[in-house]
Amino acid sequence: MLRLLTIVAVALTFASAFMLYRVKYDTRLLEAQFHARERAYEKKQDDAAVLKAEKAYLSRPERIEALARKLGLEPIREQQYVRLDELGEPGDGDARPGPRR
Amino acid sequence: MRRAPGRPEARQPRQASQFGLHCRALIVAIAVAAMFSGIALQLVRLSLVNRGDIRMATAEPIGRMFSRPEIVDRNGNLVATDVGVSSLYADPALIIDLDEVIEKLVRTLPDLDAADLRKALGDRGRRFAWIKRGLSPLQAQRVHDLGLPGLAFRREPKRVYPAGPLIGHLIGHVNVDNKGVSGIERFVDERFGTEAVQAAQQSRAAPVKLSMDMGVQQALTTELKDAVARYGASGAAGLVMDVRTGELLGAASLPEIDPNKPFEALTEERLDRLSTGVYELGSMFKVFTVAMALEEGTATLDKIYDVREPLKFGSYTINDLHPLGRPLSVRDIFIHSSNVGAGLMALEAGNARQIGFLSRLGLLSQIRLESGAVAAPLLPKRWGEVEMVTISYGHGMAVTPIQFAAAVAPLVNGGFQVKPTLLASNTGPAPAERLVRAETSARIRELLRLNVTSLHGTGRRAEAAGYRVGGKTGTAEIPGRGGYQAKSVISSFVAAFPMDAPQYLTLVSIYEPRASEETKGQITAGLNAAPATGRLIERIAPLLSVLPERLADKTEYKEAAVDGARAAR
Repeated sequence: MLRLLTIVAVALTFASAFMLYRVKYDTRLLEAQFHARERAYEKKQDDAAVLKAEKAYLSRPERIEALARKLGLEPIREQQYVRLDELGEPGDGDARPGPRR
Repeated sequence: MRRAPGRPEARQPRQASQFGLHCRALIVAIAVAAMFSGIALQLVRLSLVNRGDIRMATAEPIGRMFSRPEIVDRNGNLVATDVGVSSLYADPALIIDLDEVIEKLVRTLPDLDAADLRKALGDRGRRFAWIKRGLSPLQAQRVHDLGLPGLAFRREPKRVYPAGPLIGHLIGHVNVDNKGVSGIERFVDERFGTEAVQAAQQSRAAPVKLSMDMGVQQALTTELKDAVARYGASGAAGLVMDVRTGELLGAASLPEIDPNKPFEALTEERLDRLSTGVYELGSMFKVFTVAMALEEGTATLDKIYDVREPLKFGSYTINDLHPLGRPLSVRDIFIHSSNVGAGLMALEAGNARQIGFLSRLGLLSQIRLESGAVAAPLLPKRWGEVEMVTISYGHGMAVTPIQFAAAVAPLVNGGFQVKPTLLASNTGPAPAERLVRAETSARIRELLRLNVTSLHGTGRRAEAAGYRVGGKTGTAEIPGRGGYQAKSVISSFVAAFPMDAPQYLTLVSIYEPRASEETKGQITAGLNAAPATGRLIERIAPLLSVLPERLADKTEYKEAAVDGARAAR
């Protein structure tokens, strides 16, 4: 009777030790995975921030103006505004933009 | 226990041996219990009593870093952001050969100082010492390739300004820990706060939205640079302000600085002329003189003053630049910019009215911007007749251009107080205090427009076809050693557009312009600052959705409508 109890207790001890070990091992694995994901996320966020800054740097007005002028573009002039009703119908022959004289 | 009846003599020794067994078991049990309680006590002691020491040991080597919110312009364009950079540090206890480490580091990163390094790394008691923060990826790779033990990297947030010099002076700076130390950056710390972080993390806070429009800022900067080149000037400054909300859409001071290179800002000629420099602004002050006379009822636009004789105060004589030799109405005094006329108007009103009016417009006290305190105005020690007259045409007191612009705005916006701001307002114009009567503001608008449309107006070269510009010139001599220098001036032009219902105010100042063929040998504001303003307005009006006159709704500026809009909010 006592012997049986002892054997069961020892078996339970080993079983629980094994389970504890497994749970702990799994936890550590999950933790490592979690940290890796977190690092990857931060890295991506970091990359996104760099790309955003890069985009803002490339689209700075100074650079865009130089490029636009190279393409022959200029700041809009007052004469370039046209009212919608000043435009002729399409195919009118007189459909060129600009106020009618 | 079973007793054998036939062997009573064996009982005694058996009992003795059993007692011995019990005794030994008890001793072992007590010993084991004592050991375990010893361990338990030690655990409790470690976990409770010495906890503080342990935490300090882990926290000590970690430097503090802060992650900052992004800053964007009013249209959401990125102005300032954090990016992760590698920072190099050392654990001196792990360094094997100090000389080798120092030699290799100095060779790889030439801006390091060997003596400083030796001091920082020689102390083996330390576990953490920064070597260099904010390495470029290439530099970091090179140091990594050295393979030296005891060196390691940390990712840290670093502030970058993608727009570069364009964002100019007002943005300010952050220190090496990414804390704001000046300008808007400092304001961001105070108002919105930063997050303490352990690695290069992006801030989760919402971006801070500035009132600036990078398109307008670009146009302003380009036109100012053009003016500096055209007129051979030593510098220039300009701003574009919403006349109702006080939002600054553009603010530039040349020579410019690049916020990515903070050491540049330290030199004196690169100081921010808009908020840290006070200047006598010359005849632009006549706007205040005329407005005061109208507001106080001491004059009307048609009142005639005899300006033929120069004003004499002891040894001082006040003359007009181009005397017309006839009495002038207030209209003519304004558009011909007569110093004598402005002086007479001020004398007539008296200094109580003059001081009261300038003070109501906020010109006599220091103002604040989000970027910090704006330099205080420089006022005369005593305010006698001479001072009254010189101040009436903008000499004898000096203010920052920003404060000046904020004082002109109420004179064109219908009379309401304007507080200059660098932050975008989400709510539109807030209800503001009325500083001058709507009627006074309407008359000033009339004069400013007349000064540009009139054939004799000093501001006629500021006209930008279709955009109804109105404005006033100011040419102020720069006081130098031993009095005023005749050939060294600040030429300025303050303008508002569209004049029938002003939305925006501009101020352009050109420092020490030189005479040229283009300016007909003159250095007065009408020939440099005025045309520069015209070109500026022609460029920014389309960006600000101001329609040309022939397309705009032909409605008069209705004071009631403006007041109504304010009341509705």
